[in-house]
Amino acid sequence: MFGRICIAELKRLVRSKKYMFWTFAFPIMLGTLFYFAFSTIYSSQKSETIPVVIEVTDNAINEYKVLQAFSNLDTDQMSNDLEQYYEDKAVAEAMGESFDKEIPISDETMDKIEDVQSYDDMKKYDLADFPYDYLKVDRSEIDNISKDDLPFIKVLNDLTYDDGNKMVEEVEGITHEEAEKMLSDGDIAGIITVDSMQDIYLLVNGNGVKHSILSTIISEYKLEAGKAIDTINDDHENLERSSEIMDESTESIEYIEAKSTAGDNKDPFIAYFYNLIAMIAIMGSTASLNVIVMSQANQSDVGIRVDMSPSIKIIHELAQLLAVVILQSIILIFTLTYLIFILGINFGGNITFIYLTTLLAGLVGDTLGFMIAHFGKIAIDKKEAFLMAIFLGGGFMSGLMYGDMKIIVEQKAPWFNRINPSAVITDAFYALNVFGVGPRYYRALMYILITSGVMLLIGCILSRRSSYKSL
Amino acid sequence: MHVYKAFFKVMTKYKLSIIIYTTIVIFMLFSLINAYSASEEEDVAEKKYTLLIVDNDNSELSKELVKFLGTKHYLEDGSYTDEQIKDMLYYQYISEYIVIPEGFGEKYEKASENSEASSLLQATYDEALPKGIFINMQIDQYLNAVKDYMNSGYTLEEASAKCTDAMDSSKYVSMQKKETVATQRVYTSFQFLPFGILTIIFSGVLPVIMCFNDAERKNRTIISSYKMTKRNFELILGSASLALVVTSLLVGLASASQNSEYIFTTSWWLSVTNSFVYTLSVTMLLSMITSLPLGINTEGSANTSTFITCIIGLSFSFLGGTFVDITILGDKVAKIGQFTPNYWYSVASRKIWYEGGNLSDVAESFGMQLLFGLVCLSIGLCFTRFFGEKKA
Amino acid sequence: MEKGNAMSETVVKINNLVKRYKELIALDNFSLEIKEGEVFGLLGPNGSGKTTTINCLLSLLTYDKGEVELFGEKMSPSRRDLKRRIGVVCQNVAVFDELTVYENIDYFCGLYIKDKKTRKQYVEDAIAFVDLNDFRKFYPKKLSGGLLRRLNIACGIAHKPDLIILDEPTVAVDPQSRNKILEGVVELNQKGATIIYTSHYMEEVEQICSRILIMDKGKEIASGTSEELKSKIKNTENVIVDVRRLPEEHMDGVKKLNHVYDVQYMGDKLTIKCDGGKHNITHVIEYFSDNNINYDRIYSELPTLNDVFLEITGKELRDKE
Repeated sequence: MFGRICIAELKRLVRSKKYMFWTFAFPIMLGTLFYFAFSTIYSSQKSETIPVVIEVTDNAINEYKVLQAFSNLDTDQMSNDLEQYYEDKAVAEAMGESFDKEIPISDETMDKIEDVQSYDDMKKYDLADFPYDYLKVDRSEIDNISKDDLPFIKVLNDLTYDDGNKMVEEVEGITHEEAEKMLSDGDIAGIITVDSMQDIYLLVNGNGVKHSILSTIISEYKLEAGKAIDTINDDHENLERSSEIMDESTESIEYIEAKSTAGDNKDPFIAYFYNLIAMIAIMGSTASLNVIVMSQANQSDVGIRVDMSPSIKIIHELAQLLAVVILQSIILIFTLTYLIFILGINFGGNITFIYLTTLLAGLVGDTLGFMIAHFGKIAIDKKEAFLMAIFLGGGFMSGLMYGDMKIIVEQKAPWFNRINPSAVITDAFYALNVFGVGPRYYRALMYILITSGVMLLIGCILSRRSSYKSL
Repeated sequence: MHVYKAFFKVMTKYKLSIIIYTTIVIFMLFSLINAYSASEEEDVAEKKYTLLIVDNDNSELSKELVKFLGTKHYLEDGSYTDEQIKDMLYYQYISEYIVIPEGFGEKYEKASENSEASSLLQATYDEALPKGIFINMQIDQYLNAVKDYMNSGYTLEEASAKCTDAMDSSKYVSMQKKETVATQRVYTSFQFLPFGILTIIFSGVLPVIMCFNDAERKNRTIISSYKMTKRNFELILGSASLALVVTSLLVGLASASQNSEYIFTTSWWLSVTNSFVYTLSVTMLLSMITSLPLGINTEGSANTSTFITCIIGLSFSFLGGTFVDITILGDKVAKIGQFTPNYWYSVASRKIWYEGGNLSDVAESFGMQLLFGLVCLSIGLCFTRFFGEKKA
Repeated sequence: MEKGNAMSETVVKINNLVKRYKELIALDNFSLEIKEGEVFGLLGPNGSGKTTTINCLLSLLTYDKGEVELFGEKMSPSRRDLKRRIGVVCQNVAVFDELTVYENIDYFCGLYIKDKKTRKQYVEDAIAFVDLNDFRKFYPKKLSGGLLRRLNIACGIAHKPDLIILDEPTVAVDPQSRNKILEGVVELNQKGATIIYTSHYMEEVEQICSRILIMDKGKEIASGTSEELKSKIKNTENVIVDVRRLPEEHMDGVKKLNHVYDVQYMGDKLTIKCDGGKHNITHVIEYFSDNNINYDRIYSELPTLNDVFLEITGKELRDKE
């Protein structure tokens, strides 16, 4: 009889077109939706290139030109030429000859150069008075200095993540007004204004990780630039090596020994898929609810027939429950296969155990419906509403809508995560992903089995009552 | 208004279901608000993360480092097991777990670029995400700068103070719109409303509409002298009335749990208007759903209406940025999400609370929500006209 | 049709059954006894307690006081041995929409009969009994009301029970199907089953039941065979005359005729109630003839159970149609 009832129930369920459609369509629709919503967030956060607009003032370019000019000034030659000039002049004067030779550098120019004793002095120097003839390089190299030659810009362009992706990308050809609009719309992360070697400013429109990284890059550069300037100022002979000092990076030590977080799949958004499986499993409770209610005399006419028959009621109901379990298992396996093999979702962990966990998850939902079905003579629509409350509320608390919820509940009321069907299921998947097949996973499985067992037992106990006060 | 009155009489039969859904939504709303218990008014450009630091060294340097990190981030208190730490890291409750080993202070002085004494701190974090990299950059930057300052003759305390000052981003970073201070709490509470509104309205109205659209009952109306258009209009009015009550309740609750400084401000009024516009849009969507042959207009199809409520409620909420902020969702999702009223609600909400938007800024979002609703209403009316009457 | 055979042991015994729904007393010290082989009719208006009696009998409902015995043994929800001998045809059609006619009967029979071979035979017998052979692969939604009722019956009796309870099985059924059902009930009784037949259609009950109990407000009003019940009342014959515009003095005149104790004139129909006497119709014809009263039709009726009920309770057994 057990087998017959089970088969008859399976036939009933499979032949119900509405039930079959929604039971299969619902997980596929939601799974696909989740795939579109979450599958790319994690990978897009990794090594995300940060778009910025860089505005370099004339002051900054000029400062660098001065720096380069002083760094490439052949002071030895200048001194020698001046010395020679004065020697020649003295000789000519001594010999009473006329001396027409032009002074290689005017006294004024020389004074101005000698006045430059520090970096700040250098910044104020007017290149109009510079003795370009004594440049070690071609003058055009100084005159043609542009934004891209600035050390800060070079540093920005060279910054990469560990995987080689550029950290920062400049958006070029944008006016200031356009940049402000792009910033406001979130198309760029910030506007960097370079006013001098050390005066660099950042304008942002948020405080996300991108903005923080930009801030840190600028902070690091400013510190390095500050150190370089201090070095230059320590000894005025360093002025000649200003450019070299600026380009040098000081000894920088990495103090961090990095350790990776655990998890076969580190993407935290995979938790939404765990919750999806939990959701589908819990939704199976409405199937077991409806099936069991059909056998209750106070809920349906068929229930009167069943109740009056000599069949052992609990055997009858368990047979029906088994039919629901079989069908729900098929649905869950189908959904899981779709997610893993069609959508390519990596659940993390051994695939055999993922399927096992999924099947056991179905048990939680089915026994939940079985238990609720035996709660007194409340009408079925109210029982379904109660199941929905468990489904929505439980799902919310296990992180279905807001990922942080589960961990907050774990901190404030961990007992709730042990009795919440959704949390019990998602924890098993999580344990498999992060800890692998081990004590933590087995403990999670145990909670699933205990939860299912307790609900089944309660349902069986409540099922024993056979007479009603009213029908 | 005979049908309108009957609508509410029938609805009282389902009051328990409505109460259950409403209770759950309110519970979720308050749980969410309480999860953001501190008002996080961050107008500086540096994001603060939560770190768990275990200082096994207890030297002056380690204390200064912890103090420095405390100015930049939130430090988690308490002792946790390895398992708990893994959980916290996985769910990104903490962004990094740092262990300062014993002897850190001594080894720090001897450390150089190529020495074995470097890599003194153990930091566990998700290497793939940039926030770990950012935090490590800060720590390295601080420790290197402190060393340089100390080499220049400063004491540790002085060097630490100078570093902290030099790394104070407020001196060189500014926000585009400083006057807008958005708190996570008020934004989140209003952000959640669409899910609550949609779920309660659907769960409350669908069974009532099912009841009225039962074939035999509907036929009674068709053969009577009561106009079907009048009947349908009154049913929609009934739905809208319920929707109005539900939205008012949720808006009231969301507002009551905030600081009074946010209430009755321009932003608040705009948010309230946003909520009601969304409600109107959802009501029109509902009228379309009850007109389509989805198998919900038959007795015993409670399951179907449950599935529809869940699918629409969850999918609109996920695609539209109700649960996961639209700035995090990718472009592809945003493109699909634009077809939901939730998306435009989220856009408006963001503009209101984060960008100090006024009516002209959010008018487009309001318009898109209403347009969605009108399209749904039109589809529903077409279906009713061309298919519904014939079937009856 | 033949009525029930001679009875022997008691199959059903209800003693002083009391059932309350809060303040409403549904069964008020109700008792009955049914012998083996009887077709027992339980008659009463809507809300009289017929279905409540059946449900208490089957231990589906708890009751406040009293005893219920089936086949000489105390009935309780766990008495599966007793349940095996009972078949019930509910008032509402109780079948699975997703199973075919054959599958439905097989399913419900299977709750009683474990042996596959025996069950298969029983199912075939049941299908043949209700004449649904042409519809065995149909789903219930495809069947007409009458066929659906037949399926309902088949599901209740397929396992060949000793006691069959039919709770208003002909509600909303066409006349052809109704006759078929009534014939089937008699056939079942002839095959040895004891039948309890509840209805508020007195014609059916009169037609097939060997013994009848009339109840109202949870109490027995009267019981006995049809003849015994009718003999309990004054009314032995009703003479009905279709006459238009009968003056008042003739009403009194008719009333003065022998053995006439009550006269009612409503809607051009004069009903003359007689207590005893013979040839009452002749006397009425003579009176009309003597007084030159024109009439369309005149006929005589024996009293019905409705008359019995009316006389005892003062109200109709069934609401006027």
